[in-house]
Amino acid sequence: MPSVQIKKIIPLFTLGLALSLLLWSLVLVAAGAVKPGWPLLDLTVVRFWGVLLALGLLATLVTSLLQRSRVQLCLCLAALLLLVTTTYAYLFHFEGALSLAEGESYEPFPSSFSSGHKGGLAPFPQAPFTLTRVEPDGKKGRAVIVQKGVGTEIDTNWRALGSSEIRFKGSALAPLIVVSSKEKGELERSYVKVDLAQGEQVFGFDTLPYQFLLSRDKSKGEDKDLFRLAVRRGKLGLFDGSARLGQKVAVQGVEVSIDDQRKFALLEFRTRRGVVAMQAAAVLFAVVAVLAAVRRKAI
Amino acid sequence: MIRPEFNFPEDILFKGSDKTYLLALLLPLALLPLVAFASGDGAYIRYLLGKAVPALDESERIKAAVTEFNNRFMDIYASQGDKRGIGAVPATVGMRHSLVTDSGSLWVGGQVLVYDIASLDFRSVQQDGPLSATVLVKEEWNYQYKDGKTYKDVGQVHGTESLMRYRLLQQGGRWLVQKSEPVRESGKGVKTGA
Repeated sequence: MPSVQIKKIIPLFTLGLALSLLLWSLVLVAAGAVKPGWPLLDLTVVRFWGVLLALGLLATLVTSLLQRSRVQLCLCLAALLLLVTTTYAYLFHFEGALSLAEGESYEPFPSSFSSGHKGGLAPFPQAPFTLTRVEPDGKKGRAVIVQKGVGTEIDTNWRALGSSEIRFKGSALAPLIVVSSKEKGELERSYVKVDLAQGEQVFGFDTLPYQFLLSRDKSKGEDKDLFRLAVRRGKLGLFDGSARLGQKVAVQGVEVSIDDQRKFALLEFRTRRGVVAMQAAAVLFAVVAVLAAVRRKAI
Repeated sequence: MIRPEFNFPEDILFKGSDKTYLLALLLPLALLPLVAFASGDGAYIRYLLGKAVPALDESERIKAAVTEFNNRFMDIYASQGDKRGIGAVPATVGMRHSLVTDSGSLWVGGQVLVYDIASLDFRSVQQDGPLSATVLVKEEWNYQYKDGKTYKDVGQVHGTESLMRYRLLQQGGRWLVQKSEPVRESGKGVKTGA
């Protein structure tokens, strides 16, 4: 009978949706097309599949009620719960990295973060604080933040901060780049948060048409005040040589100097709302599926 | 009363019209890539195809974008900073902004800088993911300063070469240059041009 067929096709099609989503997700992750985790849900097709899956589960739920199938009903409810909690956790999750120099404060603005991933409904971490010290007393992997007058030492482990978590990722010395011209005075004066310990770094400023290549000059040993600097504009190399801290280098009508170095810390934030509920739903779904399988064997 | 005799999914898998049921189970598997193309995620499927069949990878399209970027870059300079064609440059908005900034400052002491491509030698093209790629190009350029008013040559034509790293993004099905930065060649250094 056609109505009987439809009642059976709906759960099968829903199962097909779930399996295809699982299989294609595994293929995409294995091929390196998508990083494992939340980035998978950034794909429109995955979201669309999720909506179809939810509709399929609802339809299967109705058919299981009509057919009075307890196992199918429990599986559908557990799967729906898993789908809803996953959606909630995705929409409210936040991961971000930012760098702060000693004395700088964190403000909950998008521009504060250099990279990250934010769910559609997730707020930026709200608790403002000031980074006062990086690696205090030579203690590696630690920094001190002050929040409402209270100092807290953070390290490489996640620590609760308001409704979010924070951890110390690393530290480096930011060079202060000063570009000036005789006619216009100082054109740029900024600390550039690049980690020269990682090798040569390339950076530029929005206001200037130059690109700078900067690294530590190790030709004369471990001298932290000696740099190798190259300045380019478009396709042209304008300068390439050594520059000492405070030394002015003449480049096509302007002077470039590295006037200071300042310690900065790379910090990471995350907000994981609903993750525990999602994990509980996943366990519940697995238990129901196992019980269904055990019951099948028993029969 | 809930009827416990019905077993999911065995009852529906092995009874009735098997072909129809098999089709219902496998159809979503085949449909997902098609829906991916329809929903704007085709780049992910193309990336998978490129991994499986190297002949289908995006290298040629990526190279074409870098070549086009440099041709447009040359046009802006050859036309004394005429920015009317900036919209056609295969670059992100941020990159176009930096081109405008650069072309606005190419007038130095009443002179204008004119570039000409001598050669673009692609050293490597690497697709980092479905939507990003990194390209290393050894470039040779000729350049000359011209008088800003009369457009007469000032001095000789010079040559410069450098190794450039381009980072590209795929947006709306097109590869766009997001960033171009010089790379120091080991042992040789970046050649000073001016």
